[in-house]
Amino acid sequence: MKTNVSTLAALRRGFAREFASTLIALALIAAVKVGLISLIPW
Amino acid sequence: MRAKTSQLDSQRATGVVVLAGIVALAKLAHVLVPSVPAVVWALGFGILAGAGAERSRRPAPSLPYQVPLTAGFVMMGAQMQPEVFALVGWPGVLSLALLWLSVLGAFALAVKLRLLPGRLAGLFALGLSGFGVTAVVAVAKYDRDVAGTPQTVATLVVLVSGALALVGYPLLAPLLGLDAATFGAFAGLTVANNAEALATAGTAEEPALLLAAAYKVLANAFEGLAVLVYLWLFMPREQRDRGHIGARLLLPKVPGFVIGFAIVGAAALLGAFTEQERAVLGTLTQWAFFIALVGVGYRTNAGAIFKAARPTAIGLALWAVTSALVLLWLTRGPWSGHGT
Repeated sequence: MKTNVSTLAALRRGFAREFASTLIALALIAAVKVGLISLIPW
Repeated sequence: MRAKTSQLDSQRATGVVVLAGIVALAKLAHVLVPSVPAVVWALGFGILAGAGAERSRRPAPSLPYQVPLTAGFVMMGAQMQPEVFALVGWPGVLSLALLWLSVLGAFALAVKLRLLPGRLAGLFALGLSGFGVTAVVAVAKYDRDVAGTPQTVATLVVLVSGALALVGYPLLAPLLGLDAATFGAFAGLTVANNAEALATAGTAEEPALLLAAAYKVLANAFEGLAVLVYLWLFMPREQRDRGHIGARLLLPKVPGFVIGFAIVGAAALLGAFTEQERAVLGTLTQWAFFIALVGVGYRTNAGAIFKAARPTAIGLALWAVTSALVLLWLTRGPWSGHGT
């Protein structure tokens, strides 16, 4: 039982990370879209 | 409980700072010596830092490299254009199918001949079918039996094959008289990792890069599905038979980057991005993958590499054989010189 609980907790963490990463990407895209990020020295 | 949480938070913060430091060093090295590809610098510095962290007495921080990896994928959706599909076309889809068939065939044969254990062969096949390190990472998240050495070995084979392609393909191209389009298709199909595939294609002139990107986009679209197929085939039966747990384990995997990529990709296809915005997002994507590769290098255990020399060599040999088959198809196949 304990394993299941910790598996689910790990899963939730993984899901939260995935969600956060997607949000970061969308925020960056929005920043590009409104012109906040236009040229990056590369 | 609170003490534990704050300890976790401080570990996470250390991880972010360490990652930022290594990324800055690797980037500086690349700026100073631009002739060595950025990918090599990122991985090299990552592996060095990982080896250093292993030797130190203090617990090593884990670097949060999955965040830039996922964010990079979502941003890559912005590169979706109708022209990309027109470029690849049906012959391209057939080429991808041929790659999958040859990779699956080669590794199934290796298992039959007892050259490789089944699960590791499956991991190799998944990585080398064009899905790369991210698919291996995704699978290892759920299949605990491959987390650790098998994951490291599979990651290594994917990375070393990418490095070999990065150095070898540009030398091979003039010898075989490959035109830029065929070269791009070859790199996009047979170099498993996005970053290395694009870096390899980038050594030739256009449209090599565009074609490689198109093939990567096409292959990436199937990554979620491939991960599910792998888990269905190799997940321990007891775990799968508990049914509901299996379903719960699989469900969150599909959303994440696949949904993000699909949304951004659909917006891009509808014309949401101008050429300049696309270029800026492309640079951001490159940065994201650069950071992620530092993290992947950091996690690569240099010691385990030597212990796993035999499966690594077999994996690389099979990759070379399947790549040669794809090259033969591209240059001598029914569609050679057409479209691709």
